[in-house]
Amino acid sequence: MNILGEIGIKISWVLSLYAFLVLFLGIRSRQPSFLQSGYRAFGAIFLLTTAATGALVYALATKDFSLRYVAENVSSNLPLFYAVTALWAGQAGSLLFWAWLLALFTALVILQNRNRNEAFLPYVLLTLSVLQFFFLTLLVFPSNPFEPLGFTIREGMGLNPLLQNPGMIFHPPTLYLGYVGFAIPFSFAIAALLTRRLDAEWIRSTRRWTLFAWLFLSICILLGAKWAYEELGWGGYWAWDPVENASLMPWLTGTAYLHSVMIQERKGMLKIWNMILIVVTFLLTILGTFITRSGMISSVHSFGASSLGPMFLVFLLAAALISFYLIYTRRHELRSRNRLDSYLSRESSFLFNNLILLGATFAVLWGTLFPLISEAVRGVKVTVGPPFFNQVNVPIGIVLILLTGICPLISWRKATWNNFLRNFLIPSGVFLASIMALFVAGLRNLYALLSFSLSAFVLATIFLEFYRGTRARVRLHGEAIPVAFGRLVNKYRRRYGGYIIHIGMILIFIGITGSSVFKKEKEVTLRKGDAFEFAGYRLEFVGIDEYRTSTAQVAAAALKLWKGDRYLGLANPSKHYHFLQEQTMTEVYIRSSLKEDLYLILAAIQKDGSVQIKAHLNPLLIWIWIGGYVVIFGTVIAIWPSRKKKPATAARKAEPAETVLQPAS
Amino acid sequence: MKNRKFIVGGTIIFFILAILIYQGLNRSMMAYVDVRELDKADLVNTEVAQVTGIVQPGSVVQNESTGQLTFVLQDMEDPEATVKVRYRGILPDNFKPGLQVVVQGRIQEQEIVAEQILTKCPSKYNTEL
Repeated sequence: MNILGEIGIKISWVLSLYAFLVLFLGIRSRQPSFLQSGYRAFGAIFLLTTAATGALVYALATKDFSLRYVAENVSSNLPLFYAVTALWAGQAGSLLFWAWLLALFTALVILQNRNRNEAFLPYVLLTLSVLQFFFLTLLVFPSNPFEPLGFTIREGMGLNPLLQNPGMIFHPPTLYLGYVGFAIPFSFAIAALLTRRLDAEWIRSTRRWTLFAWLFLSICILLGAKWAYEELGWGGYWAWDPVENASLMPWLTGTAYLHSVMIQERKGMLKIWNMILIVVTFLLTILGTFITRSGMISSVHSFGASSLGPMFLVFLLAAALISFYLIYTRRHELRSRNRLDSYLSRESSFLFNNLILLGATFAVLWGTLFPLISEAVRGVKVTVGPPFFNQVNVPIGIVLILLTGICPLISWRKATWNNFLRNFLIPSGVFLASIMALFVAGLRNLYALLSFSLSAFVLATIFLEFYRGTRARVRLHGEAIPVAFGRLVNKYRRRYGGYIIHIGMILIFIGITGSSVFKKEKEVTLRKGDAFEFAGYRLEFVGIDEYRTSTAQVAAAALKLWKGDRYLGLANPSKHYHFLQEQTMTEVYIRSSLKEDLYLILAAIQKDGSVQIKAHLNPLLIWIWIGGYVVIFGTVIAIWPSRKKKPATAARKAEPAETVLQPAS
Repeated sequence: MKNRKFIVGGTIIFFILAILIYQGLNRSMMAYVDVRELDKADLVNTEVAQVTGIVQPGSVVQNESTGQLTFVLQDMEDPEATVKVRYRGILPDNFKPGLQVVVQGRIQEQEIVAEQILTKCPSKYNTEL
């Protein structure tokens, strides 16, 4: 099996080079048979990498410790589920999984576009063959997953217990799905540049791919945050660590891209801008891999320095150089026909939203690379902590909330007074009412006041849209309200899916604001029978439970928990000592409600039997996860294929048709 | 000028952003040094810094009654260069002697009063065999 996997990778590597050459020749000589041969090469790469991935999964599942990768990542007592998912627990396996995803996506692109985009497809595949060649090179030379260990051992290292959490198990694959997903719109963009077919066709053809990649990157970030919150036990979910930033940056530019392409589709504007955005998004996914894999930027994560760093850097620079050269040489064709007429227009508000998102990306990038920059310029290593990122990004976030409300509803070209009254009068009233209500209720933090009341503003605009759309259908078609609502969303999935995503994002903003502005902490040392009060809760330390599981020795503090007079049960934050890894893990106790999370950490057990407990109160934090589910739901609606035969033209017609629904304007 | 509106708007946003970044940096820059660089870095009593090194085996002392922890931080390359660290608070799970840590705190004369201790690898994927 192992030898089959290794051979599969090597043949794929040769085939990716072959595909590049044959496509190149096919494009130059206009020989369809050459192109066909190239397509078939990708089919073979997909089958071979599937076989190689299967072989590695088999080796992991059967715990074949003769392979270095297996020995380093699983142990004989590891459950089958975790053993199989160890495919992406280490570097070599991750890269194989990555190459396999790219092969899968390429095969799907061929199936999808064979008869639709014949002019584009060879160029798209040319780009993808270069990417595939790069990743396979890594697998053939520096990072071979089938490398034999060279000596025999009876037991493997096992999977890091911190990673044995469902959230963490699905975090890496969602990241790769997102990262690899962005390679598809990127290669279409390069194809558009190469063929000089610079209308919105390449954007329409990849709209679902982009949404797909964005969806998985969103899920990845949320899972990472949830895992950090539940497993790392410091009471928070986001620390602005370089590795976290690495996933956030392409998400920000990807979000900007998803918005600005609408302007190109509708108005033929921002062509150059969209090109730059998708190229930058793709480059940031490569930079993200570089940051996590090179060890050049000191991160709490620090995956261990590896030889891959320089290779990624070279690839990154080469990709940037080629992409920007292509954009530069085609800059005249990328000029837009229309121009901005007014600051108060949908075009401007989208552009503004883009600049803000890009600004946030730049600030995060600057903060992440700052240690490197300062060392190069001033010779001293200087880091910036979370205060920097918060200080820059909180105001940006507040402007973004405001724009979430304005962008979808402001008129094209130039907003009129009527447009304002119609779409924003009631929401502005909601905004003023909520800011006053919060102020009277005693809230004095400016950012929190703005964040909450602007959120109310945005939710009001969206509910008004849903209400008006539904009412119009009820009147026109005489449908019952739920039917009208369902059909409305179903008919204009892209638009209403987008609104639902916005609702989710607003809930996330509310959760972030609540849990960062109003959080409380308290640290206490308790002897048996001691009790303490914290934020309306009362906790009494009863004793320590000690027991053994199959992998760990557990010491759990038992605390009786009351909220006011109501007894809520026992809370048991604990410490798990994992024998195999000789590592202690703190398992926190979390009691979530819609209002707040109570988060208890067993910091230490003293020799005299007393315990040190750290309690956190994180108000509204659960709304981050709820908002996440809403974002996922909305994206799925927006991505769902329509039954019509030509989705591209359907999408084009959707917008004008919607104006029919607004008889009042 | 065709796109004057765009350029004016963009410039304003750019400057606001530049100010935000500049202020943010000024307030949260921290020196990041190895233990051996402490002497020449001249950080005493000035500001919060991050110092990285290894927890010297056998140096960790926990005072049960006050909850105070002290240990010696040793340079990763030069074992002679050391500094004493005082800390109260929660330790990361994988804190143990011999491990590389980042100590964030204020440097006072011959010791660091730590505010936070970070270990280098809660999610280190590759454990070298």
